[in-house]
Amino acid sequence: MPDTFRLRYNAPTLPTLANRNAESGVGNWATVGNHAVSQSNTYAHGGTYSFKVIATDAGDATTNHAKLPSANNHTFVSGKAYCITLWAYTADVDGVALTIKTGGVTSGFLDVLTADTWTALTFKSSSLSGATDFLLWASDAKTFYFDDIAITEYVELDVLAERGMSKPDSVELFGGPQNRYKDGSMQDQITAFRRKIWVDCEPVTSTTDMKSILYWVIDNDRTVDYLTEVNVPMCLENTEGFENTWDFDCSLMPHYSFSLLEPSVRTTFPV
Amino acid sequence: MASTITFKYRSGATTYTRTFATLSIKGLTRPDKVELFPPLRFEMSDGSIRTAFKGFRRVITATLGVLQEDADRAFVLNFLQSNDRWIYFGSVASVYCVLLDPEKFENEWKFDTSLARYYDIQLLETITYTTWPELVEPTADTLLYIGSDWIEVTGDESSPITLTTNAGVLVTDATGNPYPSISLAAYAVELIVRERQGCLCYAGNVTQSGTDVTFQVWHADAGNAYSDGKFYCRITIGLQAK
Repeated sequence: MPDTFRLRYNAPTLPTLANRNAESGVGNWATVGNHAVSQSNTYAHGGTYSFKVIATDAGDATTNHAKLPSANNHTFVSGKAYCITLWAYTADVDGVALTIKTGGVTSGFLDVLTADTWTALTFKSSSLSGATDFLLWASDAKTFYFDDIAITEYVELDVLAERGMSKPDSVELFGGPQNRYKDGSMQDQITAFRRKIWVDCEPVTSTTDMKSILYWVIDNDRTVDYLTEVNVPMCLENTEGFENTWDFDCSLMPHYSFSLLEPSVRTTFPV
Repeated sequence: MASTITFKYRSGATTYTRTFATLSIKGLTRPDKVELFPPLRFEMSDGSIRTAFKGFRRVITATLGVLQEDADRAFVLNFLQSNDRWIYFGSVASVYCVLLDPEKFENEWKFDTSLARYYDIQLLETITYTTWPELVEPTADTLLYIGSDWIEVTGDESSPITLTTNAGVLVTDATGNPYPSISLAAYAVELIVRERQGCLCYAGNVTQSGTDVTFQVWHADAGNAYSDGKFYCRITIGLQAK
């Protein structure tokens, strides 16, 4: 089965989810029943803070959960494909199973199986609609943390080949100029690198998916999910235009390849 | 079934039209190729990079294939050298275009023979978008209305003025775009006349004129003229697919 390259983008009309991280306090997240929400600096996925939830018993969609009321929430448009990513953490060696409900749909159990590691929980649905509460609860009495919720639209493409993302095949080096001294000796001043990524995908036949790819291209905050990496920002190598290739000169076979650069430089390879 | 594309250009007050069969049309109805705007990538001192796109424009490739008629080839040349050109695809969608390469154009001689002059026309849409422009066409259940700007009506019922879409005072619609091709065989056409400040105006029957429509408009003997002493109206053309 081919790997999936998930393109995530903020649609032209996508509103922002309020209180998506805990950097500004607990915000409008509310404690409901046996799930107490607070701001914590014990652990954080990004920044300094995360949301801490102490569940004294199993949660549910009605009376026991952490809740972000609908007024702060994303308005989901019926029929669009949404991807919600939430980073979760627990120190409990047994892990924790979390459930999200929003847009009128309840996710299945989203498991954080490894203790002391931030885990990306991904909930995808094409059935979300309306502006509804964002609810989160644990399956039993646990303490867990969550941070950096991202809600995006997405399109998934089957990968034929990938270079530079999962293996250090191609990088752009970053640093000062190469010094050449008067005695003829030379020295580099490279301090970091960014991944140069090329992904070749199977032809896309759905016009809806082709439009989603276009919206991903023009979104300056575009991200991708691939293998174990989630919500990785990406920059286009070619900023002048974007084109698919018609395999065999046939309009039924629009084939997509992406030449990408990681927006930030790094000093260690991430995977 | 081969699809077709209609090229139109304006020279002086005259609009020229020709419809070509195409081998393919890339980038018009599906997002195959776009130009990004502005094509910028900012590089910060910490090494991070970021694009700043505001939108895109369609890059349209119409592959006409071999054109064997001199008249067709001459039309293409005139279309390319006009600075006021647009294309039609479907029945009513008009797309104003510039050339992807404004410096030159060359056909291709397939099999190195002058008998097979092959045409691939590459165009850039003049405007940019943030969402993909959907092709909107009138159907039996969906009407399409096209409004005009204010038109001076100089004659009464005994001396009406004759108006034709894409010509004279109706050279463009209220948005500045050309009128679509209107076929009376394909559409039920209704005219709606809106008077300016109580000066009564009327429109007569609609007749076909090439790919355009023609009708007469006049003002009533009764009623008040506009403050400048003239009669004005706006014509809205309503289309419903038959």
